[in-house]
Amino acid sequence: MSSAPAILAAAMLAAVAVGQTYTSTLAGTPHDWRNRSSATNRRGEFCAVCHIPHVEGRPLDRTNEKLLWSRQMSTLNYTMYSSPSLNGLTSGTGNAQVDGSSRLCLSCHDGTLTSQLFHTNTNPGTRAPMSGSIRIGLPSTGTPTGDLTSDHPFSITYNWGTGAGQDPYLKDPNTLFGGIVAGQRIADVLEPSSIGPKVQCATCHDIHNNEVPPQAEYLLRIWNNDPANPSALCTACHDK
Amino acid sequence: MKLVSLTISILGLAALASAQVTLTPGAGIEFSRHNFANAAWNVSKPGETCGVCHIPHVEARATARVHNTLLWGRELSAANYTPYTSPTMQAVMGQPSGSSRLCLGCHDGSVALEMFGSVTATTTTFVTGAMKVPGKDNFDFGADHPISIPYLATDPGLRDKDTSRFGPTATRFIKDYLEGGTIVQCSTCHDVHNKDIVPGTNVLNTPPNPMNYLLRMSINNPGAESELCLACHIK
Repeated sequence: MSSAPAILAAAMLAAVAVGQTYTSTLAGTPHDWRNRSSATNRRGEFCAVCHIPHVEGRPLDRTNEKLLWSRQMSTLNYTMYSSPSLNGLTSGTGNAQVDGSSRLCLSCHDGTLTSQLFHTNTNPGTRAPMSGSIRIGLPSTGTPTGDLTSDHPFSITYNWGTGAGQDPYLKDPNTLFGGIVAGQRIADVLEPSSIGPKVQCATCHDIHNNEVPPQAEYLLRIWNNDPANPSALCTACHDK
Repeated sequence: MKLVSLTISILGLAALASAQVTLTPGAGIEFSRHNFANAAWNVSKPGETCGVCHIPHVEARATARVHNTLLWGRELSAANYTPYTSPTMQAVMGQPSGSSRLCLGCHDGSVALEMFGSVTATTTTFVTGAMKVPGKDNFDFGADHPISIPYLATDPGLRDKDTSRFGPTATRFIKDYLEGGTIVQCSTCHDVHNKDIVPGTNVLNTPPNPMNYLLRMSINNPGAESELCLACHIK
């Protein structure tokens, strides 16, 4: 009995001495912005480039995006993907547009806004908006037009099934997705919307690099180049 | 759907054991002649079946590649074709259109198979022999069933596209296999992805026969000989 307090004290000392250091899974990824924009990310944070815990003075267009979003939002009008064989719906009514979390991705990736436009920053700075292979939409260089007709559709419902207007070549959303998270189903990587679960950017990509296998490129949730399981990401949903 | 997935899983295990592609009618592209995931000439997207033809987002590549449909990622043929003609055909074939142009990007033999992804110029591997379409030289469709032609309701030799059954699924009709509901394309008869084919029945001989040409219906089932042709043609 007499030794119990001593042990407890020793354990507490050890805890204090060792401390706790948390390392973000973003470290080393293309989304590791700690040193990328030092002029504006003045505390060298991981999270603050996209999120903010409480409202600080900033334009209204940065609000109402949930996820404590702190970046300026793009106002580009998008031309959505279409194809004769596409059954998914982009919108229930009116003009189809990007919605949900994909709008957050496009606040950088559509190439209209600079990376500096977050938090209280209103000066776009000197760093150019995105262009090249990391830009979503045509053209990949020059002035963005919001043309998404060359990109895998997103903000579309996962319209699987064999009925009219449904895609018989999509797998049941209760099927295991096949990523590194045990038990994760296709339904778990879809995003709820008013017209049903939707495919969004985050369906294939994990921006935070928590659920990305080591071999995968582009922060994809499944390694798509496995010779023994070719195009495993595509075929996670597509029954082809 | 679940039964199909289970079958694929089992076959997938079999494929792991063998480097060679297992050819199974109806089991999907991985088990077809279009599985190029581990082909020697697939230098751009090794380990991918889909990536040989499709790309999820645009990447820097030649402007000749179609951007705006089916996420196509391959170079297209620039050939000028001689259309099929016949005194008994009511429809008139022009230059190939729609999805058939995608097929011809490999099958007319003028564009190297490597021409996708990061490869922009090479002359190494081409489709030749029986897989080449058109079969005649100089891109002449004179000896090939016409494609990119309207399925004319006015042609008395053709069945009603809205009410006549077609393909392996009991609930589908000819119109379901016409592009836009009206145009005969390569995909009318062939399913490039090896899905819309009845496993084990839609083959030229006893299954599994690798040379089933990815046809949606049989041409030599005993008792239903030439059912593919006769599904459209009243003969």
